[in-house]
Amino acid sequence: MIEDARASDGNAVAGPLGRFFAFDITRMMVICAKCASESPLGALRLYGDQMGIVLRCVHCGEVNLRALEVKGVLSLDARGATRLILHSTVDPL
Amino acid sequence: MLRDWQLATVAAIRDETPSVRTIAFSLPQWTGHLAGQHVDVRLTTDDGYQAERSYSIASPSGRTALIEITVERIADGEVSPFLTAQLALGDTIELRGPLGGYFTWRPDNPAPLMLIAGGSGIVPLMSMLRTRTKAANRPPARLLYSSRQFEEIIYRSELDRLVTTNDGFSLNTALTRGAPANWSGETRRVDGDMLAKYTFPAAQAPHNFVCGPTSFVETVADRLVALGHQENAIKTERFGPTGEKR
Amino acid sequence: MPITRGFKSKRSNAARDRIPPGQYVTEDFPVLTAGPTQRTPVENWSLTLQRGGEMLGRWSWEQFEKLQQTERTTDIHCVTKWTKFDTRWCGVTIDDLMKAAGLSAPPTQFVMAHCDGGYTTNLLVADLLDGKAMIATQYDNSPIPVTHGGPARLLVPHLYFWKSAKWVRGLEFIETNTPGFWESMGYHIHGDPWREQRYTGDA
Repeated sequence: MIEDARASDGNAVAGPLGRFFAFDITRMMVICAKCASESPLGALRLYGDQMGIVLRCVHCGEVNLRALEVKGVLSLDARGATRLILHSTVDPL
Repeated sequence: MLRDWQLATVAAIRDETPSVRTIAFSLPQWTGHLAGQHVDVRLTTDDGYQAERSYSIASPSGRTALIEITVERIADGEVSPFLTAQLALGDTIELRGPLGGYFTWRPDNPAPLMLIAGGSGIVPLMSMLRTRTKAANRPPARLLYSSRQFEEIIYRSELDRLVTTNDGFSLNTALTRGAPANWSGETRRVDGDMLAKYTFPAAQAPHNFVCGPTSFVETVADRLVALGHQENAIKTERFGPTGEKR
Repeated sequence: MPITRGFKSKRSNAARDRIPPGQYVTEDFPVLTAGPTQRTPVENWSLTLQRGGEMLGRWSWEQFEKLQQTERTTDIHCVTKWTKFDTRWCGVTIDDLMKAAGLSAPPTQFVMAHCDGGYTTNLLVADLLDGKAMIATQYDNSPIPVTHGGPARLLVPHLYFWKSAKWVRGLEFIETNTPGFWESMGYHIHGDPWREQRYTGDA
């Protein structure tokens, strides 16, 4: 997503990644493998432009998640996250 | 199905400012949306080239087959000049959504609602305010809105009208590139002092939503944390560096 | 696929024989990045050649500027489909770098490029020698802007441009062809635009 895109954070991946998940991935909590901080995916910093999705920790800049779709197949690399957490109840916020 | 592309038809067009336009789409397969969500739009040329962008929904939440997005024209953008100048009534484009559950607000949330907008970051926050207006119970709400110039304030008259309804909503605006002679608002960039002055104190446990260019959002979010707000009471949506030349 | 009335692409149809398959020509120079723009001042900059932890060569900015400089005008091709003609660069070819390090032959057949910010990309040594590649410091007769990889980037224009790593700081000779940042996500390990090697499994 570039130039006049509305977001450069994880909110913008709701469309491209959301197709592959039954739940809303922007609400998923991501624990950074480097600094152990916890962030919702929607708040991670988004890079990668048209090459692919690169989501980085807002505290230390480590790559927490990478995603690339090639010919209808999604490849997700989460080595930069030690855990991914999703609540089954809707966030009251 | 929210994951699939559907055809949206332009039902109405309204210019908000010289460079900002609201477009209403009628959508046969719309399931309703929450305030703060967005849609992706996809444009296709006759040689098969495609461009995709996402835009926040400006209209209030609810079961409706009509939604509005508000688009700011970026000078050398690829998509926004088309949407704000060429897309006409009756045209169709592909659209996907509603998307995003993280940056959303529900009207049954009783916490004080703090909205902080930079430029076109006002769009999803306006959906929240409009949703609040439709709700039976309205929590106290404040908007701190930073804009470059008076003429660029999006939804200006609607916001002024909302203030006069006296329902617990207050508005403060900061102009960063000059103000008209009779301006009584702020005339500098949003900083820690301005946030301390106009936002709900942390002790009132507000829910804060910050939206706009990346640097604006990150500065404001840092200052809110410094004012004592919990990180999970601050939700952010970054628009990227608008106007960046490539 | 529904065509959007009135939406025109920025593509042009010039010089088809210079355009690899699936590409279109642009006058722009799009900026793509996997992370925040790196801003290393030249006083803190160095470039190294390494193998297995052993330093084979190291240059400060001052030392690097004293090496043999080469100018090059070339087309560049991004895997995201844009091609830009006649880009002008100046820098030190990898051949000259190896000479300056006293290496008459490469110690291995594969290289990993390392960059400020952590980006990596892997290359065959054969794709770096014989004038095919350089460490570039100038674009269009000016220092490369930080958004385009300044103060120095790798330039390997006969491969897709993700291999021309921005903010390069080191070339590491490695024993096997190990995938770098994008290659490990599914981009092609080699990346020849003329064989349209975009993703793993292509050509």
